[in-house]
Amino acid sequence: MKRLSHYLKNKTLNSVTLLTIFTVYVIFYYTLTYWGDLIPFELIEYGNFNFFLFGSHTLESDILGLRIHNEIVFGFLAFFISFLNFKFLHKKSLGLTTLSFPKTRAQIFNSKVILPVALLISSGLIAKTIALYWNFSFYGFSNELIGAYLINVLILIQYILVGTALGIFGRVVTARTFEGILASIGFLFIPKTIYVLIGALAPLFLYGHEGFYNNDYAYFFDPVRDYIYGYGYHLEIPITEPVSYGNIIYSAFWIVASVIALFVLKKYFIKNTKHENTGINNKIPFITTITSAGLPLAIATFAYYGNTAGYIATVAKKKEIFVIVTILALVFGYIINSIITKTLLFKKEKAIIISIIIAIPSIVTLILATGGFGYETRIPDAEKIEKITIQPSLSVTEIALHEETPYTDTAIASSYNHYDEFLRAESEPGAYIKQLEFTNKMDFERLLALHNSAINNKNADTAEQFLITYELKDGSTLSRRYTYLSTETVEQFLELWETETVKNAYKDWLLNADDIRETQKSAHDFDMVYNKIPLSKGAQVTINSIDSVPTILENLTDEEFLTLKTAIYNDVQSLTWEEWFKPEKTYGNISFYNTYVFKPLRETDFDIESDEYYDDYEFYHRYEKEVGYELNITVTSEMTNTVKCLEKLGLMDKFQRTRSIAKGYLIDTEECAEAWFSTYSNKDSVENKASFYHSVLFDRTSKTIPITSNTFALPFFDEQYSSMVKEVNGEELEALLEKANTKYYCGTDSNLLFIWTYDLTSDTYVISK
Amino acid sequence: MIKINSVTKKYGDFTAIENINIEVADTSVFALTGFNGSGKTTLLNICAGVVKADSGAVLLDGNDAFDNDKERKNLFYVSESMFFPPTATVKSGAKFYAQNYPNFSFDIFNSILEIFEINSKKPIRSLSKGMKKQVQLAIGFAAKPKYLLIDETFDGLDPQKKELLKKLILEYINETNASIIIASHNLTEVSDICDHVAIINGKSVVLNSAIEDVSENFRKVLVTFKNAVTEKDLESVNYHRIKLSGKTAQIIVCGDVESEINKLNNMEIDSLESERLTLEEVFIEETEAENKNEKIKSLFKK
Repeated sequence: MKRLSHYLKNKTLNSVTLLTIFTVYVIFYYTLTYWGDLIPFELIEYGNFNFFLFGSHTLESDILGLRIHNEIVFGFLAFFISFLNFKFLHKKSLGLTTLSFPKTRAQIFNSKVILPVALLISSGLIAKTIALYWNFSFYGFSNELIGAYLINVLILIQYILVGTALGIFGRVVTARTFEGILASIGFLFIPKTIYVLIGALAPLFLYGHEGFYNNDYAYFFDPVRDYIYGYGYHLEIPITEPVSYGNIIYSAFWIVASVIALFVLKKYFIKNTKHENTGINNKIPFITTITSAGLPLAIATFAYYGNTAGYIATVAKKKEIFVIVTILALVFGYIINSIITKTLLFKKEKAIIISIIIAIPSIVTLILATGGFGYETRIPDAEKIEKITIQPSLSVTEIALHEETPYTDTAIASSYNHYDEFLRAESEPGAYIKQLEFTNKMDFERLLALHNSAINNKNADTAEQFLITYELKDGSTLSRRYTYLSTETVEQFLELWETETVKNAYKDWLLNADDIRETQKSAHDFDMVYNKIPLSKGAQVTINSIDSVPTILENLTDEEFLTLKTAIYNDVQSLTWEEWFKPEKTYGNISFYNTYVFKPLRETDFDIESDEYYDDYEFYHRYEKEVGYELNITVTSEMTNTVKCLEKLGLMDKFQRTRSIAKGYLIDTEECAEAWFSTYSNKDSVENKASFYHSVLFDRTSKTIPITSNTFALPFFDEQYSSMVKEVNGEELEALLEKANTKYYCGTDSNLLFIWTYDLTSDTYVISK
Repeated sequence: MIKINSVTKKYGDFTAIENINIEVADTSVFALTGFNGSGKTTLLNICAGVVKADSGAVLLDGNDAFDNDKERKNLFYVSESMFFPPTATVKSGAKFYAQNYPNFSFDIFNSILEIFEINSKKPIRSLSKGMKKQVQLAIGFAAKPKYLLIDETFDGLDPQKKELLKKLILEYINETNASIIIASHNLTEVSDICDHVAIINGKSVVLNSAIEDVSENFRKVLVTFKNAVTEKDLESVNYHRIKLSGKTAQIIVCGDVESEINKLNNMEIDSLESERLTLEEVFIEETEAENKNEKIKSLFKK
């Protein structure tokens, strides 16, 4: 304790700046952020979410546009202070003075670490303890609050230690301030960047690799994950969530790692720090070169161009671009490094860097040339397979980037919903088969044929994708993801419709309600439960006409409801994939809307009543929640059982077009294609005429569809494009719509531009040419 | 006692100092001289524990100075570029150092400032080079170290301050029995206060002697021979350098100078005059600066 107090009292070694910074911080923290941080009034406003519980945010979003954790402020301060405190390693006169003091090097190091860390932790603890007191006053005493408080303290210590270690690292391993800053930043970002970059690019290098992104490992090995990847993640969720082993292990890991790093840096500082090297480049040539300029710049360049290159490599199948980009990025990084470190381009000491520059493109070339040493063509033997799981496209957003359908004739296009449901696995529950598990050996041949097709047909005809995972009898697994599928592969995929597994999935959903309810009792995955909820007797049934006019069937009896479901099921069972996906005619669609009440989980709730399901995500919210979902079935001429049933019920006429269109806009697509990169998000861009959202644009001529369905993009009403837009009356549009024959799909006219909009009076307009 | 024991320091391929051996006794002012870049500051940095010697060691009363907090509490290094916080005043600058030296006396510090006529409230950055030096020296004396190292001791000081400093140094060692090493090019000033001197010539010590011995051991002898002589005629004389011009010769003799002068007297000479060398002349002799005179003379004739 005597030694510790010595370090704490020794102000000189930590320089005057330390106390100045600390004073400024205290003023900043306790005045500017006082109201947002410590007073729990925010809790009332945010209802069930315990925002700002522990003074987690130093700034409100409406002040600076970002919410920043005070832990991050502490981490940044720790970095800044330690970087300043070890300035003597980069400034000769300060180094001369500091090292001439009657202190051992160990004492100097300890003084410059222990005092700032102790000051920062203690001030953070004070703030959080005050917040705990406020929260006790507001909520009353609870163990959960204590747990969340302790987790917050752990995170605080983690950020302070990580910041301190980074600051010292930058100073100790380099000899100049600029290099030091780069080294610290590089050391912080490089590991995660490399990991994520490899994961993102792997599918592009290795055809079929499923890739990995910001997964748990990536987050775990990122000491400041919230700072980079999401502000206010772990403290905005309910209070019980931070009290998890995941957070404790994560923080504890980084605390231990930082302490080890500090010990290593101390050893290095004592043994190898030489005053005479102060201000000299390349103190540790390898680290300096890697962190100061070469690798960060190379990675940044690679990442930036890699995205474009990835697209080119996958879609255009020109993987050579990777080799070129790799070489260019590394050489560019190397030149920049040479400029920054003022060293000759081909100095002897740089041999290792030059070796890397040669080695990496060589490895890339080798992998591309050999198909990952057989990785790309590996398919397991049917005999050895236990189970195959197929996951179609996971995200609409991903697809929208390269929106294009494989079919262009009007009839097929009109059944696009079927295709969408099956191949894209959109988020709507029940209607889409998110994940197909095949254990039936009879189905394996179709799946292996699909995999073969994906390997052998690499044309990027579509934006579709799927993930296939084999569970083998020896316990191992093999996964491949294929993106931008060829038309042949998509058709192979659609053939899976005819497997028993798929048809039984519809059976589960349409007819096997009782069986599924049993599953729900043990299901803790919200998506699984939600996705398998059967149509209940009370579901609202709606028939939507071809022009989207709904008719709610309020008087449908239970018997009629069951008859209708059975008719649909029989069609599902009997139709081939081509009949299902390529019908002659589309009538309209039937939607079923179910509503369920999710009640809080108590121990007694395991005996769940009919129509009552729990959602353990909502458990902590302690309130009931009503959840509904809608299921749509497109009725086609091939669905004879359904059509007969509807005819019998006298409902077929509900599919007929009923509304006339008052007005619309003709747009010159040829010219507008050039304007697509100008996007707008203002819904009311055309005053008193229409508000636009969920717009989907197609340009069949240019084949470029850069607009997502979620991003409003209508540049055509901008003044400079106004000449391209012509207002027309309903009759003219009706004629055009007859030709277009759909409101979701472009149809046969290759010059058709299609925008679906709603105007202020809720009438539906279709704008087309 | 400061004992510099076989100290060698290299910077990469360049050898700054090699196998230096020096002893500085208690109650002693030791002058370290040598031309620019001869390794004086490197040697002081090693003595102060800032730089580690590649081999050998600096011992303070028998204990290694490097990374030794106990012994170095008694050592203060007035380096050429002492650091002060950017906003420091003379007083706060002293405080910056005072906390690390247990014997620091603000009374002594303030008294020295009075002698030098420096206002303690002035920001250090506003002081002239000479005034900064005076503040640094005041801090050094106020720390009351047993070992005081001063680099470029008289650099920037006016003649009056130089005299004051000399008196301060002499008074300090009389009162404290301290060992002081001063590095300087100003040999006239050094010879006034130092009892020992070492000249570093490039890598090694070429002269390490008591000040009074320096003038004893070096003589400049002007001899007029009866006949013209050559260097061969004077082979028996132990001289450091010789300049012949017909019958006259200017000879620098070293070592046992009386014996050498006797040898010359025994030759056929008309006259012989001898005089002691100043420290500055010895420095020039030892650093062989004289050799460059001819080059300089012919430089601008081209």
